[in-house]
Amino acid sequence: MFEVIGSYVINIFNILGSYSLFCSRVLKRVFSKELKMSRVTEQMYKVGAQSFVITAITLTFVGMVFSSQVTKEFLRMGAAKIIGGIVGFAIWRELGPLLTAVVVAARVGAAISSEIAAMKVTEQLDALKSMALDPYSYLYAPRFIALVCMLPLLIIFADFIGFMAGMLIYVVVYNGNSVAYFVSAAHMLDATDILAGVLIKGPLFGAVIALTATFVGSRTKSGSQGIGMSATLAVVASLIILFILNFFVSFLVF
Amino acid sequence: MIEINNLVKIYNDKRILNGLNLSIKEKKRTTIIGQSGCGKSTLLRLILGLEKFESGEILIDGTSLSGLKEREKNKIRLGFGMVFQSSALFDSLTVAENVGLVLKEHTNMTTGQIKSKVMNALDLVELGSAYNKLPSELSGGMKKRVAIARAIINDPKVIFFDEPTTGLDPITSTVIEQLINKLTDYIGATSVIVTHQISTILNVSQEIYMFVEGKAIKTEAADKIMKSKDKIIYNFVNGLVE
Ligand SMILES: Nc1ncnc2c1ncn2[C@@H]1O[C@H](COP(=O)(O)OP(=O)(O)OP(=O)(O)O)[C@@H](O)[C@H]1O
Ligand SMILES: [Mg+2]
Repeated sequence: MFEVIGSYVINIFNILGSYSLFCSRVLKRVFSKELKMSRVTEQMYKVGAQSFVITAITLTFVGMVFSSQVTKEFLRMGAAKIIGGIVGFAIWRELGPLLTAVVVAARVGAAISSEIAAMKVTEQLDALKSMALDPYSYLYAPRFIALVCMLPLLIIFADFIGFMAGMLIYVVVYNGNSVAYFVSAAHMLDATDILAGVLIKGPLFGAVIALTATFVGSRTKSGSQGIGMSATLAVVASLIILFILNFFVSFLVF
Repeated sequence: MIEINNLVKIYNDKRILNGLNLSIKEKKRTTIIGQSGCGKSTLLRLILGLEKFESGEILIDGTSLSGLKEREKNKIRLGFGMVFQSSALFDSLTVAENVGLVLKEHTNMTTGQIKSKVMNALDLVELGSAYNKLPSELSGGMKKRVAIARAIINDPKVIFFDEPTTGLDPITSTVIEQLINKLTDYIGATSVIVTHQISTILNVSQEIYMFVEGKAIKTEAADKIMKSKDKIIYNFVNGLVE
């Protein structure tokens, strides 16, 4: 019994240890001259292309549902003046950054981890190494930088879409005034609300998604089953880390 | 050239290589045979420093691999070409990009220079027409040949062939065998060939080792191996089940 728990705990610490080592290696490569810019831009383009549309769809509907709930209740309480601000708070602080990260983890994170996993089980990672090419600077670091840079941009875009979708519902369904919606948001939100989501959560979440996906992919055990399992594991693990981190960032910043 | 002394490699408590001794001579073709799962591919991976071993020693030109930093290992790796058993072509790159990658990353050659070298290497394996294809569009045997072209593109001193002719038709096999011979005879490369194919054993080998229970036994020369006096070797090459 104790033995089982003991080996389980040791195993977890082992994985955490390798994960930190992996992260530090990737970070080191970010500043090395072996890293080629062309690989980074190629990945940035991929991240954008893969997640632009689903991010837009997600935030459109989340913005609309949130705004419609808030508007209905707040109109009944006669608090129309703060609706734009409340929707803005929710979107810019939490829903935009977090849901964008969730979408990107599911789309891009899964793609990266199954790509790396496939390379691992078909000996492509070994082939890279045998050609004196380092997978950290050739594969992992470019994906890391791409996600760290792209996620903030996607979040800005997502926040904007979500906020505007909220306004659409407010104006079209509840006959609200669009100017009042903006004024309310402008009045209640300050720079921190917008910037923290973009500039703190964005890069941080991007880093988590990239590091988790590449780490999990690179440790895939052989077999085509392993590839699918790695994709699932990468998504589940990054979502858990994202939700926990999101709580602490919000708690500390706002 | 490459000396292996008392090498031990353990996977999951199983001693795959158990005190293996082997010597690979410069500019010679050394063939390694042995049952599936006996550790032939593992040995090649260990020599390339892709994996760690438990004990023993691998000497490359007198330098022990164990103490080397990654950067020093990379220098050695650039002098080696490796044809992986599974070919291991990069899925996302075309055939030409696969073959030219080492040159693109490690030399100052122009795109034109790389292109002509790649063309040359692909012609050697009779795959000039596959230049712009993706690996997913190739058959297993074609992938193998691209892998061979990729391994020899930067004129390595040592070339490892992990089952180079497995899955090829007899004629293409002969082409590859002749290519392997040409690489040592004319260019002076040292080759290590892992193979199960009798024709390849007979046509390329200058020295043959058979792996048995984690150790390497040196066998007779290629012209005598089919009539080997050692029962284990005799049974293996003639496919006899005890
Ligand atoms: N990464 C690994 N983890 C655990 N065991 C492994 C690993 N790689 C190889 N092995 C085991 O080591 C043994 C030797 O494998 P290896 O690939 O070297 O065999 P081989 O002689 O090349 O066989 P084949 O002729 O089938 O290619 C096998 O029993 C295999 O199960
Ligand atoms: Mg093998």
